[in-house]
Amino acid sequence: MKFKVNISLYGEKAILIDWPKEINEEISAELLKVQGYLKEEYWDQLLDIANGYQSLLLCCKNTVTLNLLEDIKSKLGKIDFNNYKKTPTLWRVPVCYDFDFGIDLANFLKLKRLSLTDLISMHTATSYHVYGKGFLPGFLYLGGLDEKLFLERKNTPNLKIPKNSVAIGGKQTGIYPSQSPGGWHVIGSTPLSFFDIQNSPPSQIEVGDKVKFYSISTQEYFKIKTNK
Amino acid sequence: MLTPKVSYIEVVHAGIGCSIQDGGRIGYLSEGIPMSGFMDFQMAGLANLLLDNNVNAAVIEWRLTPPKLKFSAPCQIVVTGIGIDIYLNSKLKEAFRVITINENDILSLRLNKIKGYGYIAIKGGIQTEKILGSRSFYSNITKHSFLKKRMKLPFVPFIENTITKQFSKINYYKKPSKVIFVDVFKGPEFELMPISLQSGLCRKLFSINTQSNRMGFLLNEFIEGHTNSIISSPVLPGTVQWTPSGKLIILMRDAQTVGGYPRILQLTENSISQLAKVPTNGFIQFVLIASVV
Repeated sequence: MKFKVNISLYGEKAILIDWPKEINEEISAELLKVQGYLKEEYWDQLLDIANGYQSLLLCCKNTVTLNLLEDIKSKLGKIDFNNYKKTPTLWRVPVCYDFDFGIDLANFLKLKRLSLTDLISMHTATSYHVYGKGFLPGFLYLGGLDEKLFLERKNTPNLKIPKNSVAIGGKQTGIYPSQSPGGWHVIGSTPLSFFDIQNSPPSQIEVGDKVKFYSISTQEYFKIKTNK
Repeated sequence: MLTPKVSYIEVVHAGIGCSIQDGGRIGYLSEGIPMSGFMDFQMAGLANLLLDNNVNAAVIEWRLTPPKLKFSAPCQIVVTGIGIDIYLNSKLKEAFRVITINENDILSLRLNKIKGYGYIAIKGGIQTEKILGSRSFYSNITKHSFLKKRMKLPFVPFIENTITKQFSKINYYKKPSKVIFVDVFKGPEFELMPISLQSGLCRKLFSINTQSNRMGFLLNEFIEGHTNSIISSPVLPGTVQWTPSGKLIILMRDAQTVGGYPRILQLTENSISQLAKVPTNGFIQFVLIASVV
């Protein structure tokens, strides 16, 4: 492995694997490979593996034994994880940056002293890395936002942010997979839905994938929405 | 053979915060989907076992205000919980014991002391829609987050030969104690606390805020505050988070899957169920246990 990890117990039935405390794509990539390996190698002992930016949490079926802990430690030192590398999918996501959808768009531009054209060109320039999911079922933690677009979350959250809203919160940007309260600044909306609980897994976009936004008009938005 | 009638429980009064729960939604943490499931695995498990059900079969869970229910068909049920009076058509019944129900019977529960979570299990389990392997209610996953008035909860039609004949009963009697001890392990960020706090934490009594729910129990008392934040990391039911203001949150079954507050303690599985039994006016005290591994 490229990075030094720390393996420790988390309660009686879980094991935490920690990478260095930083956010970067190299750590994310290694973590995913290790996750793929552990899932395959220990499927009979694991209930689930949760992932954060720089850690994996292995939830075990039974109380963790010293044997299991030592076994994982030694395997992580030996295995060539490159066999578990997955090619990331690039998702091109249409966004309508319109003031009707972007309920906070006007305020955002004012606070950041930006024109709508600037915002669109900055927000659509990056291929965002999917570091994880959380906060809401299927909510993507996207990294790589242009620092000119950083804006602290609102002090008072909106009670109802509509499903498929595209928003900025702090140093991150994301898509709301369902209607929810939230403190992020909504700048637009996508006509496509990437989260459906009737599917298993419910999100099409996987951790490690890339997301790139492109701008569409209101007409295109409704065309895509009705053609779905 | 007669076609079995559609059997369901009709919700007459929804109570407050009542839901359907089972053993939980396992395998979707990395999708950001919480495990959910019974707040008190022991109480729910007892109810199911008395009916010879799978221990993880779906049941009705309540906390402060239980529901009132009407049964469309005969069945058998068990009610578990502390400090409840159970009435079937205004006739008093016992908890922790199989109750035989006839068509159109009405079940109402009264709490004589405000206690923790309680359960109504039914022979064969409640058969509401299973989503991602579980019937546990959760906002944006299942259609409903709570029981609603007039909702119809289907159950397996009563078949004579599956009747539970062993009317075993559990004498569940625990003198309600004012302080409940909660076993904890050190969490990943335990060492972020100053030494004085690390040793003092287990000598302090904490009470549970009335705003607490299935997502988490907020503790009323302040400890020292801090300015540490961590990179959003996985959390589990039973994780104790240390907020910058110095308040503690014990994450429960519906907790979000990742969090950014230091994770200072982790409850044992058993302690999570114990915590679900803490009365609203009760206190808890942490007991730090060393891990065997």
